[in-house]
Amino acid sequence: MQPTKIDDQKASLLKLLETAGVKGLNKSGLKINASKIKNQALKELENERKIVNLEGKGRYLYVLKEFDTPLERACDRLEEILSSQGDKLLSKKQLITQFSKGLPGKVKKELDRAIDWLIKDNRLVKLKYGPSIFHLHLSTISRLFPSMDQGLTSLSEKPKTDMDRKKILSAYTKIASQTGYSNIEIYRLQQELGVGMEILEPFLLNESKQGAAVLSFGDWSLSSEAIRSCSIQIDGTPHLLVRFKSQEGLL
Amino acid sequence: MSETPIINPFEDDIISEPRQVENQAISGLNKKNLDRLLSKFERLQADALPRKIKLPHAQFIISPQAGYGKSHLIGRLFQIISGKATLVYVRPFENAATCWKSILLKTVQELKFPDDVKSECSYEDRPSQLEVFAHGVIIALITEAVKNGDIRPKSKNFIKNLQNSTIKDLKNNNRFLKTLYQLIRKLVHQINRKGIRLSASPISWIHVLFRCVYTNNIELRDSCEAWLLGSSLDSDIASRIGIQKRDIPSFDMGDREAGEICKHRILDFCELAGFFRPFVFSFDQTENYGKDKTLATALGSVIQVLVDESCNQMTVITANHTPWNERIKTHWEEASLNRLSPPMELEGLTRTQGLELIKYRSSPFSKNGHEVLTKNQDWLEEIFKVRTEVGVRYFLQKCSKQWDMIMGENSPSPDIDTYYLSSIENVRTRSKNMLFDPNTFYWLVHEVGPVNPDFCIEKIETDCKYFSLLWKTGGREIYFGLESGSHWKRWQALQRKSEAIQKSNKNSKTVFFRTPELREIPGKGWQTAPELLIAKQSHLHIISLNRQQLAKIYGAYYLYLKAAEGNLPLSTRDVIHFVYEKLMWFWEMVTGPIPSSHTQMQNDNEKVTPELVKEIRLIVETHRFMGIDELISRLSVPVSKEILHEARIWVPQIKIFESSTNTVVQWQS
Repeated sequence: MQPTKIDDQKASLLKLLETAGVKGLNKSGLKINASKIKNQALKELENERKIVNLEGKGRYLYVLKEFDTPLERACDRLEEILSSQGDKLLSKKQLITQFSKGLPGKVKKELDRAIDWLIKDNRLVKLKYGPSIFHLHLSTISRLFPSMDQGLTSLSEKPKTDMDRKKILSAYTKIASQTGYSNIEIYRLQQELGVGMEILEPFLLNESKQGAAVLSFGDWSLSSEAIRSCSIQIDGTPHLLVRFKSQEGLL
Repeated sequence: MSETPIINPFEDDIISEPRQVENQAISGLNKKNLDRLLSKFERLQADALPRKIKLPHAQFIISPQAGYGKSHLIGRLFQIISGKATLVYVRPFENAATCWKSILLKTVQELKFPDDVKSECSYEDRPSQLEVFAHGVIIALITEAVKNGDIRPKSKNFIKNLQNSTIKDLKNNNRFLKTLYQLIRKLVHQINRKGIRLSASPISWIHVLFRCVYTNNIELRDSCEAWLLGSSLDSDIASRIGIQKRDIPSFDMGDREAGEICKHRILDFCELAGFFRPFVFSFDQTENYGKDKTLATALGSVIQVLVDESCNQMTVITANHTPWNERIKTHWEEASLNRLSPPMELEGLTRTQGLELIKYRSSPFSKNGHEVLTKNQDWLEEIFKVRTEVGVRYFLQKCSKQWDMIMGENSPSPDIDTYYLSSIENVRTRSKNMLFDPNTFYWLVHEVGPVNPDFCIEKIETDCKYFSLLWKTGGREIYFGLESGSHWKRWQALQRKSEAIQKSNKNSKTVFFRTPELREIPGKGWQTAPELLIAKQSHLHIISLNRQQLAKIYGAYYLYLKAAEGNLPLSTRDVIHFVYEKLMWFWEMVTGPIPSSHTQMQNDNEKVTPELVKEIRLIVETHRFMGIDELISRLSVPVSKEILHEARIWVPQIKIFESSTNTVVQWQS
């Protein structure tokens, strides 16, 4: 089939966004202007989920789907702010103001989840003083209490790295080969890895978001307590099974 | 066409019948699995006729959760191979002891459905699968006989002309049929020459097939059907058909013997399929087998037999991940498990596929329905926020909710009553759903009845000849038999057994259920009629159910199966208790005294007439789109919904859409 005009426009938009990388481009950066065909190409790419608008309604900052990582961006920004504050503690309000500056809408919405993530990841400590809540970054604690540095470093060594992903995928492949199914119980994966759900859940959610993993309900009523203990809630529904797409060929 | 849809196009999210699936598939959705099934099926068509091809495995489709499109995938497969295979959709059996009987009954019922998967009824221009199968086998046998010099036609173009002849052509050619009838022995020779071994004599088979397709004599056709079902026949009628004496089943077989005959009928069908085209058996809704170890084990054995002992067929079995692993697989022998192909796992719907589905579903109802739903995509954004795939049913439910919101409908979440009404409607809309189904009656008596603590249920398991279940309540005994046949000798034996039971306990009776398509007992002209009529006043309770009653009973079972599959937010226990209450009239009928005279049920006299079909056609063609109640109200003589649907299927331009609260018809020219 001959490529159509719209296909050409789509290819050119994808190329521009590939060059822009994580920073992305707004409509003028993409040279959309009033061109009907370019607007249509943009809309189609969005519907096909090849690109994502990180802003909200009426504002535009497009990135390729692989850079649609608002939670990670929010975490990076949060760490950047908190580790550069020196000894100064920021109230939640101050933190929100600093955090929101210049960030696209989708990333701004992730502040609370980013805080939870970093706490679970042992990179942030929540402090309560009267009605106020402050957050201390690991680097600040290390600087203020050098004697605790070694212990803190070991804590911070847990988070996911490329190595961890490989480990998880390898555990997944092992179970999938044993059972013969690419959908496996999250519980089995967790048991195989020997990690807590506080580590596995954000990892799997992130993989799901990226399209590398698919979470599904399974059957709650027929599942054991153990299997239910490793469920992931999405939209109020527990998901008990996971399938990694990239691994399908390996099974 | 009305711009205000009277039905939510996303509400129908369960496939109850694979033949009803939409023609248009969503691009790429589960295509890999469909292609895999098709490539396995192609293997069955590889050699020249006659074939004897065995697939090493049953094709195993597994879904991570309910609502990923198992039945839909079977429907797509059926649509693609329609005309290339004989299609059999097997619903779950409820009694392991009679599993083969149940599968054969379903097979023969499916064989009587139109060969064209899109048609809902067979008639002269749209023959049934059975007619096409019989015609195909006979033509192939004649061709073989000519090739081998056993038949020497005068015309050079004989084979070519024969192969181009339709069933109608041959039916109208009496001279040819007479000649063909005389050549049957030569056709049998072709079967033997090819080393094809049938359990029943080939000559009996060919005579039966000949009668099934080319004879208009209803009595002979019915008897052929009874023989195909493994039932007994009178020797004189068997002789008129051409069935050998040794191939006439006994009228008082026990479950084991009857099961063997039924199994071998299926295996014979598959052998004969080598002369025409393969069978495809699909075992869906398998979750139901998980409730009982013996059922799960029986399913494993059935699959093993089909894979090991039959050829020219592809068996497809579907399951949901957790019920399969927790409740079925654990009861399967290793040998049975080895008969399954590596699992074909179903995939979810992506956002792009979701948009395609929205467009497809909303287009018959509203030109701008798609835009209405996708103008604001925040709700779609929310669905795919942390995932790139979701189950199809989950997606349809979200669409349905969104549709209601946009249309200003604030419909409350459906309750069990709504689901039940929707199930009844689902049964009513397809006449094939109204045929005798022993599994439903077995379930009703065996699982629903015990909700009443006064009923003590016993399974009659020792190679039972006449009855499957027994209720004991307050000194009374009620025996239940599930008999679809209408052979006088069989019924005489049943009557005598019933009499003996009553003699040993005056408070006892025997109960049999009959559905509208079955022949009345006793049949006209039976010599045993007087003694049967006396028994029917005393201890032999034959309950003849009309279509409305049947829709309520079958609707209840359908509701139960949907819950068992995980398609509804209801437990099977909830459904069983609900059904018990809803079918109080049925329990009263079963436990009450035998009515003194068997009056015909209300509406039993209703019949589909050409005038009714014509009137329905005219009304729907004029109005294009309307609710079923409105259609009934516009008829000159009001009819029941059951009859309306029976008549409606004769007009292929009328399409039907169902929701939990409404059923609408649309004219699609």
